[in-house]
Amino acid sequence: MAEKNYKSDLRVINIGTQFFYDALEAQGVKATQINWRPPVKQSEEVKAALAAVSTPELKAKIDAANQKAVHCVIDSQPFLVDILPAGDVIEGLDDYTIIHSGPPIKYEDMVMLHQRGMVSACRFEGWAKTDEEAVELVKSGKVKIISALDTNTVGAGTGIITKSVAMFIIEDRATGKISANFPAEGPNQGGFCGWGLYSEEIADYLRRMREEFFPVMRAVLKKMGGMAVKPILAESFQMGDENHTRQTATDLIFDKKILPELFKLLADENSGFTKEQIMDTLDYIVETPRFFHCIGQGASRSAMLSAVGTEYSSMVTAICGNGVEFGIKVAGLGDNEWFTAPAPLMKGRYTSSKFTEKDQLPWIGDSCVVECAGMGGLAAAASPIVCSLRGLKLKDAIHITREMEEICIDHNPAFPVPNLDFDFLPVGIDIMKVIETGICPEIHGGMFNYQGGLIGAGSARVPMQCFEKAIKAFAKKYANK
Amino acid sequence: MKKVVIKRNRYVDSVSLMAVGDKVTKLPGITNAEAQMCTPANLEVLVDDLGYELPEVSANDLALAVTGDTEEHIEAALQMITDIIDHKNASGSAQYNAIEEIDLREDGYDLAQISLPGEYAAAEAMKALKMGLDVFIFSDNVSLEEEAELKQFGAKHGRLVMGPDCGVGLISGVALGAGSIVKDGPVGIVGASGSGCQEVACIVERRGLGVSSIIGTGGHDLLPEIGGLTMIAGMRRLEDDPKTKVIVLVSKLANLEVMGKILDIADKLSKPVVAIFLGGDEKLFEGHSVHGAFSLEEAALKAVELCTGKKPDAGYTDAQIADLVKSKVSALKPEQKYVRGLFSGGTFTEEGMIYYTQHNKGVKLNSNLKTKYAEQLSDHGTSIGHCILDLGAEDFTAEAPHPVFDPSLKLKRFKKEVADPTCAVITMDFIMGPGVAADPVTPFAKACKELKDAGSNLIFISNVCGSLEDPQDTLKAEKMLRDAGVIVTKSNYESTKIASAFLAALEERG
Repeated sequence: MAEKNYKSDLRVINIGTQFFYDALEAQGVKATQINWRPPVKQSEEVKAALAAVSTPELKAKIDAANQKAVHCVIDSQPFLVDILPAGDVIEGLDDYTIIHSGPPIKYEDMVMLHQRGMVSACRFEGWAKTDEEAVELVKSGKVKIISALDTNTVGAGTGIITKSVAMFIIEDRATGKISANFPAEGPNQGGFCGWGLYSEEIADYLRRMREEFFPVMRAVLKKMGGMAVKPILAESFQMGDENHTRQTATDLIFDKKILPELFKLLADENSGFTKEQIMDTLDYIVETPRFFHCIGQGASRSAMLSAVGTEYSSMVTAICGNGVEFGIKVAGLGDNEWFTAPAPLMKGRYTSSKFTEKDQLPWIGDSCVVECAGMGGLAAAASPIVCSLRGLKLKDAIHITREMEEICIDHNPAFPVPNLDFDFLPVGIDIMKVIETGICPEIHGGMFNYQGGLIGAGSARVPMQCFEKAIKAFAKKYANK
Repeated sequence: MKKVVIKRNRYVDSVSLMAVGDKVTKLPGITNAEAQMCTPANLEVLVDDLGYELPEVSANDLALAVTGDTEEHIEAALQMITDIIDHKNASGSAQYNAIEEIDLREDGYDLAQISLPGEYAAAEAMKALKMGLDVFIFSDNVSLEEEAELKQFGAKHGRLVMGPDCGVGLISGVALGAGSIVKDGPVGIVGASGSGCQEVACIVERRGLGVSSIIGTGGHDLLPEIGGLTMIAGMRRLEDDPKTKVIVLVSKLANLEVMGKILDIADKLSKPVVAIFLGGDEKLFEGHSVHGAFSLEEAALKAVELCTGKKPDAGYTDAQIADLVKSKVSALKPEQKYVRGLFSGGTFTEEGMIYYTQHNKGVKLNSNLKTKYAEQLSDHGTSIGHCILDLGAEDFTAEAPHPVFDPSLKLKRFKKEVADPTCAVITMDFIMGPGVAADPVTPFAKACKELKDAGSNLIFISNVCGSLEDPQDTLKAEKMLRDAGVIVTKSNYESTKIASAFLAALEERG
């Protein structure tokens, strides 16, 4: 391409005040402005680790591996295909096994919500008749406790899952990978699975979901041949959802797709379901707030499952907290290798002015799997509505996503966003870029108190310490390979 | 010829897709172009109406379909559709977050201009030097150790290190920092004082010549720790530059040994060298063939004379100045006793004070600067007696933006001086250039005009340090000031000379 005619041979790189760049532009000089930021403060150890994996040869391998890993998300074709008991689809979920959210943690170290969840699980499965019996059983070591993100599921909230819990099944039709995700519990938002609560009422609703609503939904899903998740997500990003805190649009689109099928079933004399059962199912779907959230998480998780184990990839595959610790996992490192830091608190707005930071439970839950797949905090620009909850303006929301672009491997062409002038959302958090830029991933979520009550919504940043530990492990594994 | 490409499970909203057809059918040989989600309604159009053959698809797939005359045209059309739906921005230049991201083999650059906070400037400058670039460092607060390291690296690798603390530069006709765009010509300037260099360059230009380069060295270059490394490198560049006929060195009085070394090197150059060390005397130049000058104007005029062989004419004659003083002073009230100077930089402030010290023997001067020429004010916010202020000094810039970039601080102080009943004369500088305030003169010209119209007898003296190419229009600014009753001179030196005459008259009147 022919170079533009400049008034001088001198070509200038400007680092610093924009004013001087403008002066060069006004003179008709070839100039470029460096988008400079103060250097990131890194420990010598971290610097050395980053340098060790930044050699051109290794960098080429890492870049190639990251492309492979990020395309597990970009090329994924998630479908909601079925609803099945957790024990049938989650590897290793046998009797006397309880799944929880966040990095692995011992019963003794758990926050009350998780401890209560363990007890509730034993009661729900009938392994114990009383709470006291349940505590004894868990403490005896007879119960195996595993982290949800060490399996093919996601533990939103407390993420308490046992083998009998019915799960939504998401299949990535690009790879055949299956993830299992527990559905929201109708009126009992934050019931058994979410907040570890257990009561006769909650147990009964879980039974109804399993025995009455889900057979209906399974019949519909079977008839539809599964429901494609990605087009719903894509459309919702153009309608104000970021798909972590807000599912207003996805819920509407989902309802629009499933309700006609329910009505057809209602009109079908030989459906095998009672009218009451179908109408109750309909109520369950439309009256469960953020119904689609578990489906979005499932789609993210099923894509992540194919990225896990991508040798040389520095892409983040898990982000989660257990109320005490916060952890990440990396595609090119061990499947069950966690890099942890103290769980962060959120900044945001409380539902009532009576709540303060003191009431807030540090981050609990695995729902940041959506951030791993380029949604939620990374998609802040798509949802000024969510950002306004925290007093941010549209430009702030756009700024957050633009900032996230700097730590992501690529963009997802399936997700153009109006507020970005239809630029695509960034996807694939790269630990190397996080270390280089000092920018930590933005994560959205709900705030909870120690009793499990929802007290607000907000955001946090994944602690840098997680990435520092991860880069050291990454360098250890790959630098001298 | 028809071709269809299916993008599986790729959602694009219909509004984006509608943009495709219009754009793509303008390509040569293309009669139809479609990008459609494979919904039943769209399939009807694609297959039944347009006759495309599609494989098995679902509503979640995207179909790109093109009809054209040749394979080549069709491929080009498909590429364009892909670019449109991938939202590839054809315009928009590359964005860099760090200088090392630039590949100089692909995208050539010659110089890095750095104006970061001092603590970061040296590291970026070193990166640029290692990439093979010259650097211009506007930033101050860079340590002498770092400056020495940069300049030693530069000297070793033949790279020019302008600054740190370098206000002005002119390289290949490009004004850097706060400098002016001066016409090309035979005078090459190397200097440790930004406004000093700019003043010399603008005076040269006004006398019909031009400037090949202004190589700023930064204010610390002639300290023993640095040893004049950039001044030496600058001289050598100008010695080798075929356009440069005469070299001018500009600095405040500096370390004697370093100045001696500079002059020794200058003596050996093949081109004539004029040097000014503001505040120095003839003794400095004893035993050197370098032409010594003692004011910025003198340095500029000597350079012009060396180029043209003719002595350029000076501005106001002594007789004209005497008349001016006589007519203006008689109109002053008895309490109007003092000269006030409002300057945007240290060089002009000092040039004035040095002159008054030499020509108004025994006069008591005040200034915010700590110098041997004047008593330092205890409060820089209030003028006492004859008071010469550097509004670009730290005590002022800690409170407001530097007056070169934003005249509001200077304007505020100007109004304060005007309101002081003991003030008789205000002398000011104005600095032009693409990298400074867009219109530094108008607010003052307006204020002076209003005072004049209201019958004020205050005396204003000013010079505009700007070139004829600067975006602010130097000639128009001068006219505006003249129309407002301001005595407009051709240099700071001339302003000083006139102010000095007023000062003498005021002292004499008592």
